[in-house]
Amino acid sequence: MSVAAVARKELRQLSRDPRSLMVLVVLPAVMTLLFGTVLSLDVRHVPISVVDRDGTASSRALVAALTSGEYFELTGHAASESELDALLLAGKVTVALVVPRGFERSLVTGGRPAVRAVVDGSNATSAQTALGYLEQYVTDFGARVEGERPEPLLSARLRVLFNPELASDRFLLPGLMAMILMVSATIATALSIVKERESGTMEQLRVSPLSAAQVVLGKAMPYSMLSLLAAVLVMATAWLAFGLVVRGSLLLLLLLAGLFVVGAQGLGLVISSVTRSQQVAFQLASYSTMLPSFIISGFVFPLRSMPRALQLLSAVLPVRYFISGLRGVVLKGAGLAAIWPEVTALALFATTMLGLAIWRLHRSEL
Amino acid sequence: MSASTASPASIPAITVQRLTRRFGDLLAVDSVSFEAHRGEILCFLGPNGAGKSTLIRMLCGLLAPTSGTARVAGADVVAEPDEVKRRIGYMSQRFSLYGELRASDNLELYGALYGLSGRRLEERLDRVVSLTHLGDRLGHRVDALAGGFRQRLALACALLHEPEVVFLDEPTGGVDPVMRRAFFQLIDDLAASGVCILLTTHFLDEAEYCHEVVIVSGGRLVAQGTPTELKESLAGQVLVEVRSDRPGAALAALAAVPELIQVELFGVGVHARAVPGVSPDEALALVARTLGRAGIPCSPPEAAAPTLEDVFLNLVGREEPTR
Amino acid sequence: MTEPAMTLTDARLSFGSHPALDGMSFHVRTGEMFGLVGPDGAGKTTAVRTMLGLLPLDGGTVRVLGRDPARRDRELKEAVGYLSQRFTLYGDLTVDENVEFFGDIHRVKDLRARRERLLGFTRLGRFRRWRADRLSGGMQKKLALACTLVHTPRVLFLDEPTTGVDPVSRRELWGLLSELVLSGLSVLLTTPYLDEAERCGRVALVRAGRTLACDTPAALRASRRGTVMEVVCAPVRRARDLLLQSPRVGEVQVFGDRIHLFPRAPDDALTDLVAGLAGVSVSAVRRVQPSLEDVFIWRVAEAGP
Repeated sequence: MSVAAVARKELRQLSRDPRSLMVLVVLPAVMTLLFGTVLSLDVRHVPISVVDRDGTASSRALVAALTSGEYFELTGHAASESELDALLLAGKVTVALVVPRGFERSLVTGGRPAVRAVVDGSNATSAQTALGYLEQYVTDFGARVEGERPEPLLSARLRVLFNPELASDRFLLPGLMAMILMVSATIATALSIVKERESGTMEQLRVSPLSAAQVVLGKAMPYSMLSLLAAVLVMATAWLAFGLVVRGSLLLLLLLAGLFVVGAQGLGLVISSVTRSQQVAFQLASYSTMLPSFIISGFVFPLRSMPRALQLLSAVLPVRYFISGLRGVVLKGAGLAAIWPEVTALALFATTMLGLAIWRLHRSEL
Repeated sequence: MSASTASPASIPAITVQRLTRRFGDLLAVDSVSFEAHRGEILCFLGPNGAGKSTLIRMLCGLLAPTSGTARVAGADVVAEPDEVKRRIGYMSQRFSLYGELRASDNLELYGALYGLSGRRLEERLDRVVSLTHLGDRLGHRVDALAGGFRQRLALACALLHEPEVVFLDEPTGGVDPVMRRAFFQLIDDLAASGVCILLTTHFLDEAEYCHEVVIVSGGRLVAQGTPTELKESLAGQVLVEVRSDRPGAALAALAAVPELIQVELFGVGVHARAVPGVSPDEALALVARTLGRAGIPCSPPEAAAPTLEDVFLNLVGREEPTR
Repeated sequence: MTEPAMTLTDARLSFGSHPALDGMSFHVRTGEMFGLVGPDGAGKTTAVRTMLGLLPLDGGTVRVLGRDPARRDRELKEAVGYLSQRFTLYGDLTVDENVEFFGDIHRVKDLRARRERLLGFTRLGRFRRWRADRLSGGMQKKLALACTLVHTPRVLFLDEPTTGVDPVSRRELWGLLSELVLSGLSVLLTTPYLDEAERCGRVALVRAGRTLACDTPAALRASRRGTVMEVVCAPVRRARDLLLQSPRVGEVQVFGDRIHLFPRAPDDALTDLVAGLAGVSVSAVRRVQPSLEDVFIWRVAEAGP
């Protein structure tokens, strides 16, 4: 079969090019490891200083509860509020806490004591997060102290499903994996057809009985296999290095990944069939995958908070569907019944891209 | 003895003695010695990879030899390479022109590179433009000019600083025969004015335009002489040309004759070379007789003049398998 | 008379405003080695591409084995072989693998046997496990030729097959091509080398998208009627200047160590003129045939601007 002949040739060429193989199969896993370690919206070891005006067992317990975990790190007790101000200004602490006099008494007698916190807002995101932690801790503390009393210090109680610690890495990892795979898969095939054009072998193929479909499919096959292998390595890395356990079906995961990489490579082949030089193909592949994957796919920034136009644009990105499907299967243990829209979208993308690549190749002049 | 059109004194413009260059294990140029005079057109003929480019680069002062000496335009290539560069003109294979600039811009640029300015530059520009007949194309962008014009422009740029010695590296790749002839006319005029011209080529028929031909192969100088002298070296081996409607049969019949070697198909006929010692008449008769006996109809055999390709192939037998 | 293997009739094709083919016409007979000869920009590669169905014509017709190649029908593709000017090999695959690939995409039956024959024919058997990019230019061309022949085509297009190839490999390549033609293959090859044109059965001289002349090399050379005298002498320039002073001399072409003399009157051998050149030593005089280059230049001049 001619498609097999093309696939065999591509595989042979790839096996003689260890650098490309590394980039295609191993690099994604390495990138996942690197970026996964660094990428986290969590804020840890936030330096905090306390002025404890009360000096009671309760106030000490509060401070202890706050700083016993990983989130806050007590740099020391301050003597006065102006000292706190100085510390904040100098950037030595991010949060300053003041426990007022009469804190314990108020607690015990059923009052509603308040603690005051000042947060360095120059890094808005981490400031907000720190504030959030603070509120959570204080609420918890209040609940524990009260024991049976039903009224909480805070009016709302939050119950977080699926990701109780709100560990951002779990949230971010699927997006990271998707982006890395998209970029590498697209670039791999983006160069494939153009290279043949540059070297002159494409002309020979055109003159042979080989059809455009046979060329495209023959090229897509080996690359897809290798990219799927890369995807498996990425997920293994996520599991080994970050403890990301897949709640749902591994098979479904593979299906998602498979459809996704085929689509990405289809896109790469389309790019390859419309560009004239490897340089341009590479740039086009990079720009068309990296930025959209990062910004409008739901990787970091939630889709719903984006302007309508961008939301519409993200509807044609396969990354968006892959991320949402991935999160579903990995974090929520969703089955096919829940994520069939994503599966369908990815399948649609894959077929459209391959079809487009075939059509472009068929019609292109040399 | 070369039939050079010598100017008043036959001064050697280039003297090369046992010039050698190694790249690791590879002996790119192997102990080459020769001389070239003012007013002479010397051709370095050889296939790609024979060492021509390496040799030229050494003579231009761009590459240091491993051993041996060479003097070009009075300067020693080893001791004074920069002086050599100042005295020679060089036209490269790809013409080294700036496509987006106009012809006149390129000329001015090269003039400036060689330190020409003011009145001197003006004079030289006029001189060079008239020599190469570029007059009406000066204002055109180079990439809009046809190959022949670009060739002349590249030559003009190389001649601006009035060099005594000019190197032309594969100057006529793919150019129109009409333009090529005009180009060689130019070269000839240049030589007449006393310039020593050294050109390299792998087009065997270009060597015909040169006074002296040096055949290079595998880094070594394998033959030297005028085109006629070189062809006469094969005089002892008659080349017979015969046309036939049944070239395959003719080939088979003639290949069986022991006095005929190198029998090959050629066009609608056969070329056969007789062994040394067979006279032209004998050779022709032999061919006619052989074909007649085999009942193969053919045209009367003729003695074909040997070409430089024949000379070359006679000297360099085997094919190189690797780069 | 059997139908020609390939024909191009009054072909016209422009790229934008530039006419690449401007009424070019010629035909190639079955079992013939045909040369399309002309400088860069003459339209040789364009003509070949048209005959392969890669470029559609603006005007005129093209036929290969009686069919229109623009239709791109499968049967025709199987019958046609093409060796393009650029290297059409996979450098990172071995000799064996290259032939295998092209054999596979043409669905050649009994590929192994065919490959053995081809490698034997091109004498590449020894290098079968070598990567193609390690071979010399000449060997790569032979490999490319083998890949082109794997599916036993009836018609072969070779675009400048000997450009950049050293003379030894060039002759070997020509030997192979001659054998192929003998076995019945119709071959069209393009070349800028006029001396190569001599090796073809018939030749079309082309320039600026048009055919200047089309005939056997011998007939073409004979068409430039009249004597050409070759005079080996020195100093060459002086001889030329003196000869040009005579009204009997039509043209003088200077070569390195001799001149070609074209008398105005076809039968005037100019022997007395040559003998009487002052200050010139003449070592040989003989009548020669005009070269194809002479014919080409003459035709160009005749065709006008």
